[in-house]
Amino acid sequence: MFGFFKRRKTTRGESKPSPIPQIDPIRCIRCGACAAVCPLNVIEVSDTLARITKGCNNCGQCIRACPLGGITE
Amino acid sequence: MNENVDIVVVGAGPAGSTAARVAAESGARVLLLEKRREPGVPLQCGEAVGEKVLRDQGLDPDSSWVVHRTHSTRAVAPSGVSFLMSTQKGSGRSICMLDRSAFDRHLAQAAAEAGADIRVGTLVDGLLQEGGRVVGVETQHPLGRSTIRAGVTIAADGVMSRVSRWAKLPVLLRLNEIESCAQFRMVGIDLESADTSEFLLGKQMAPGGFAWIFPKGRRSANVGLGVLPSRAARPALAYLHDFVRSRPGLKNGKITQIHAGAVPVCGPARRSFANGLLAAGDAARHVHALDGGGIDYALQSGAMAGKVAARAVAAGDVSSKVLGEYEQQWKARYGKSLDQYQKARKVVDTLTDANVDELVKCLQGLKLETISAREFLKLLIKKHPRLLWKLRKLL
Repeated sequence: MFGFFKRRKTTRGESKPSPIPQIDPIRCIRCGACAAVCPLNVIEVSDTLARITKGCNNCGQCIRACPLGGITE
Repeated sequence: MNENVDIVVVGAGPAGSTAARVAAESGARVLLLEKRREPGVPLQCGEAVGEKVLRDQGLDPDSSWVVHRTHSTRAVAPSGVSFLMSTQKGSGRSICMLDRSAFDRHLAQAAAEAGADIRVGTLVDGLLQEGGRVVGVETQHPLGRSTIRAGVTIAADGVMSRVSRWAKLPVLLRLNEIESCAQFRMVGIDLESADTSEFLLGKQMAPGGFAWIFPKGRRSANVGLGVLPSRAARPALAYLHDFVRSRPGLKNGKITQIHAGAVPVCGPARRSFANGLLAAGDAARHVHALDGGGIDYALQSGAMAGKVAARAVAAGDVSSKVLGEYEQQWKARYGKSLDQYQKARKVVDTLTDANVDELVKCLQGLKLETISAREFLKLLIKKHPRLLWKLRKLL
């Protein structure tokens, strides 16, 4: 009984929508399409990593621009 | 660490490397920064470029970085009707298939040989500005951080163009101003001809864009597809998968590489310079808005930016008054063409699949070398007056 409640709580915690888009490092090849359309210019793309730096307002433009479907809400 | 140079160039693609080479040849102390540890990798390009473009820039199309050539181009309408444009072998009008990574390495090496310093694996993560003037960049490198002060900063950082945006140039792209592209390097495919590059249109197949097949031989090619994110329901990669599966000559091929990238199709930036800064190539949105080609303009704008920057540094005046000459130069050279392609793109975007079919049918059977615009118009008036109405803005 207690175990049941405990698990539900965790599940609920995990499915909470994240405040900013998530870049999947497996799909991403650091092409920079996301950075090009980011109205706040807060996506930094290095040789090995694309990451959303401070200030993202979760507008979602990057999600739609990614050619590989590598960014999710 | 603090460093001082005359000119710092951000990005060692065709625009940046050319700018660095030209500036170094003019006697400036140049530092070329590239975030990739291996310039040109990963590939973000269809790798097709006109032979004439290379020759005009003094590049030899017989070099090791040209791996194949095609002499005809086929445009395929949604219904499958198509027309073919051919050029004579040896006419200097072939399409060269690059090994783009080798091409970029070649250009970067030329910059180094001309005296420019190159630093790879170096990410620019900030711009130095003092009193409304750009005076250099902040960098991150595996060995640490570095502040580089420079008389002129050349932003050649490609479609992302973070540097230009820090300098407040108007280069932000909306979702209807960017082609989101995916590409496969394929082998074991069965092409009708290794001598024909193909462009395929269709609103279902590639909303707001097109698919391409650029042969690298009879059984290998770059097969790619671009979409406008504002119109597409799925990522470009999903459309590309469907496209490959739908083509008998492709579906049994093997995918050996996946590439992706984005192409600005908004027309050239309204402003490409600031106090202490010039933007060149994709970063300044110098791209053919119809076919998405950018190498031509990258090489040309890079050379012009390098020259103007070197002159400004030598004269000791890097204000936008002097640097603005760069914008005058590229506008005189190809500004009008870029605007026209942009206008044409807007018209083409309004065409339905049926319109495109009609247009291609009209072009079919015409010999493009001999046809005049008037002849083509007569034909359109006779056969498709409504289509002509749509195309009126192009005239």
